[in-house]
Amino acid sequence: MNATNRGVGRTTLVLVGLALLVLGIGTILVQTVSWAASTWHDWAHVLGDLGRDAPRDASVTAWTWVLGGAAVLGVLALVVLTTLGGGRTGTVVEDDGSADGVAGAVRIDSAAVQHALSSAIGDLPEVGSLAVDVYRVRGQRAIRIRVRPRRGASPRAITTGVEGIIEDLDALLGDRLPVLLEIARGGAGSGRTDRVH
Amino acid sequence: MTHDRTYRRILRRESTASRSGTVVIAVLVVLVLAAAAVFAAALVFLGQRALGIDPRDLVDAAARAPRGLDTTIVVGVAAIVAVVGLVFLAQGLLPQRRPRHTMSSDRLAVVVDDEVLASAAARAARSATRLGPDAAVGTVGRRTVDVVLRPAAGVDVPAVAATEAVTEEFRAIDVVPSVTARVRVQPTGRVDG
Repeated sequence: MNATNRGVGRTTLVLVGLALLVLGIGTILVQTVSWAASTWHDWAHVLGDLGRDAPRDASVTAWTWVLGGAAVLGVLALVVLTTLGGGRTGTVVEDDGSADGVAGAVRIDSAAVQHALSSAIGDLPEVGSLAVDVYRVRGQRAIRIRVRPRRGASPRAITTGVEGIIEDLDALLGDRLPVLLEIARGGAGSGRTDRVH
Repeated sequence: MTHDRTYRRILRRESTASRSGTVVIAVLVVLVLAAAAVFAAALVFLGQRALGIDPRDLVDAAARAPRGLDTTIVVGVAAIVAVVGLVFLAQGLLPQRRPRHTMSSDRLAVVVDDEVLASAAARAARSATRLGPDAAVGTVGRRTVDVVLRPAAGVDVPAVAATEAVTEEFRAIDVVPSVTARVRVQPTGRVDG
């Protein structure tokens, strides 16, 4: 649910994977198959300026291209790294009341919603442990509730319980935020069965 | 106000595995290669050698391949590089679904781990048959839920009632994609039960 750009990540994987695959298979072919080796020798003249026998000027130009290409590649790689993760946000509601023409602003911190939801949902008998986070999704705030239920708990009972609590939250905030309920395996308290059954 | 588009996006992202770990490794590989190229160019400009090797000699050796290179080492290293590339490619192209289902809800986007569903199925079958807590084991696939009952030797188990209980439980849970329930009673009874 974080802000990772998955398209960029998968494109990177495909491109890097293809490059390494072609490099590896190409090297194996050149080393073991004679026609591949002769094809490689036809093309290897391009590398002449990078070699020892090239004149000084041509050598400097060729290696400058290598330097520039490597620098661009490195910057691209760093840009890809910055697209990973993030998206968690500290405020749930930010409203300056401009719609009603009233001065002043309202800001509700994520911590307030986290505490309210944690104590309300934690009281459900089916819930072993839980975590609440607020993320930015498609330009708006969204709440993620990760619940680890007790063993054998009915997911429908948990969902119904959380739906009721979220209705109260909607009334409290005056806004219907998107909410993800993630019912996950394991975690503290999941070994004990729910005794209410 | 509904959040259909947001929910679709969230559910799609939550039901496939994250590749960010592999992406980080791939980016690090690219960074190391780029750093090596920059280092080699700097050596050439300054007329220096690193570890007694001139980068220009390396290029010459590569251009002359396969002459003067040890086949075993070259093929071995190239095979490793190709396999790493294949792994990255597979990670980028395959869908990689997580073992999860989504649930219908008017207000929330809900995802459930299959393990939780299996546990709920086992509990439903157990409560219909009055077996002990360890006598039922559930497994959930994409479209099926299997419950295996292992009663103590000599105990008669109402398998039909158990199947109905599991089906009823999953009708209430209402997962997407929907699953069909199947209950099997293991004929070899346990002695400890």
